[in-house]
Amino acid sequence: MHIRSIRFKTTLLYSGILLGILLAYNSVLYFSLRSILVRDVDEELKIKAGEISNILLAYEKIKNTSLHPMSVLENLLQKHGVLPDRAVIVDDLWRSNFKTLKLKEDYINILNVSGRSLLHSNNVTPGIKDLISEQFGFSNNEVYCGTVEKRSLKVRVINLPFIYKHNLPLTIQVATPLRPVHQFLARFMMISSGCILGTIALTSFLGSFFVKHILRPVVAVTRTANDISHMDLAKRISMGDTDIELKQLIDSFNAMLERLEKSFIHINEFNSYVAHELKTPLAIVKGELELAIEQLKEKNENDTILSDCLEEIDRMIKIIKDLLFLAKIDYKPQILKFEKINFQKFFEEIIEHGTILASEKKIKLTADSLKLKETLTIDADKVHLRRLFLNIITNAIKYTPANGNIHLSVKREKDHLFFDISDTGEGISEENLQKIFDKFFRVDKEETTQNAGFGLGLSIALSIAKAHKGDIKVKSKFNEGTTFTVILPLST
Amino acid sequence: MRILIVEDEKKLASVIRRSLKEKDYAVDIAHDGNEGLFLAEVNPYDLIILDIMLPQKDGICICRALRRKKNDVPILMLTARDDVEDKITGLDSGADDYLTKPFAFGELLARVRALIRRKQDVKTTRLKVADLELDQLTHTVSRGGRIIELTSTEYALLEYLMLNANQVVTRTMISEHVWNDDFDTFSNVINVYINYLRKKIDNHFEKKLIHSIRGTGYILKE
Repeated sequence: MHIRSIRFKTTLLYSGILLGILLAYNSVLYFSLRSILVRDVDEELKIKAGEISNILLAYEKIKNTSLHPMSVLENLLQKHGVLPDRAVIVDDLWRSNFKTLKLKEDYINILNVSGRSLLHSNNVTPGIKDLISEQFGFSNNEVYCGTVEKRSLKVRVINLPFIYKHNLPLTIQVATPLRPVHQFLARFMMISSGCILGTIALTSFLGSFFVKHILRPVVAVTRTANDISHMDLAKRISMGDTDIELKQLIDSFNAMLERLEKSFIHINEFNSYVAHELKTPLAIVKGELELAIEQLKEKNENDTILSDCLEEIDRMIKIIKDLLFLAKIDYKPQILKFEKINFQKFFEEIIEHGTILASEKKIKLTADSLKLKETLTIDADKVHLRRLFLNIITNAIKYTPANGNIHLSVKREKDHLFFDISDTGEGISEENLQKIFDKFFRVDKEETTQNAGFGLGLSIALSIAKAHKGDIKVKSKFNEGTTFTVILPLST
Repeated sequence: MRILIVEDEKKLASVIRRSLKEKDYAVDIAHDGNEGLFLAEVNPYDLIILDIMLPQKDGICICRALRRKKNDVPILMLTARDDVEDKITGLDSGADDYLTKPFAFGELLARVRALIRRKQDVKTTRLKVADLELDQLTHTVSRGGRIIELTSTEYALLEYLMLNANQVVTRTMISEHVWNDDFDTFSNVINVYINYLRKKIDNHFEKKLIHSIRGTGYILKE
């Protein structure tokens, strides 16, 4: 999936939106959960502190004043009550409360009016005491809760005012570590982030799949657009069951194709019309010239002007024929009559004709053919395929000096045949290599007209190759020679 | 020999007429389809040169109309179109030969001669020129009773020359009939094949049968 694709962007967009929503939802959940949990802790602390005050009051009632409140407390908190006589009942009560309220973990501290700690449970270290007293001093008549924290230690504290023996105001401070709450919240966060990640992964996977599905007509449009060449502008994109937006796109695309097709047909018709229209006047001029030359011949005269004109007319006729052929093979490939031909036999024929053509210029033509057990066939229009090869061979002959060499070879690679036509000619420079298949392109601009082709031979060869679903490649080294490779598919 | 030219292009008709007259043919001209058909029906022609694209009635229609009336005058079709389909349509409508514009007049004259002559010939599967014999059924060739081995291309070439014995055949006619192509590189190839044939047929005999006509083509004659 490419970064600059609609599929990627859409997937990213709604995964992002979903992530935002889930995070917001999750944090709301987190904070409300935390406040609920803290409130629970506060409630618990309130009960604990209340319970401690109740116990103290109970002692107050049964003990008269013989015992100092502090020693009562001391008994309660530090010795867990080893008290004589009637106190045993209260003591038992305290112990059971101590257990059920889980006071062992908590820090219990009792302050006097000046804020000094009169008594505290064993687990209250000076550090904790300082930490708590920083924010929680003696409180007069207000019950309030708060959190203090230092480094890893985080505790929830409650201050409960308490009047002992009608005239001694005390503050009962109970603090409990918030570790369980935080552990719970951390676990909650872990699970919920896992869920969020899973949801995002699943949605982006499913989403990208659905986007792909939605965008499928676009792929179809692309494929059709790629398939369409000037040969088959009649092709249209099928509408199928697509969405409105894409329907509009496909409609405009098809309409554009329609217009293109019309103008191509028009141009093509125009070309062949022009070519046809030129043929009749050329026939007349040619006829008149031939007649005039004939008549002069009978009087044993000769006129070079007339024969030069005739030569040029013939050249013009050939150019027009070639152009018409190119127009036809490019836009009306049905002029080719395909049949299955035995390629070995065909290749031998090409070698034979090539040898004859090359021998005129004293060029040696050599060939090595494939040695094969089976007969290979290609779907081809024999006449045109022959023309393709002879065009390339004639071209090679033209650019190879006398006594040079032309070598033909053929090899098979999977279901294609590769014909190499190599010459020992002057070669083609890199910049010209791209242009040699262009219409009317000629490497040497100062050729004598005798040697000159019309620059259409290789374009025709390439068009024929393309019409056979093949191709022509060319490699060249300057002053060493050129190799044309004709690639043709084997028939299936 | 009387020839009818049906061609709407007046100048082209005129130049064809003049070149035919040079060779002593009597020539009539029609400039549209109806006139052409009328002339062809009332006069006994030895050959009709028929353009395909004509005003009023096209060449294909005229050709069909004539053949329907059992008129078997040789018809040479002239046209600017050179698609294989066009050629097939032309020949299927009953034409005997087909020539595309622009053409060489040597070519036209050679074809005119071939067509006029073909009508007079008796069809046979054994062709004979002097002591050279060719059997179209068994594909055997012999001269003076001695069998001559030929490759398939050489055979096709010789058969074509013998079918048109005693008349000039142009290189274009040869390449069209033997190679189904009128590709001009072939003229060189044809020369070489004629040489191969000469070696096999004429080399050991005093009387040469294959003759070159400079600039035009070849003739096989005694």
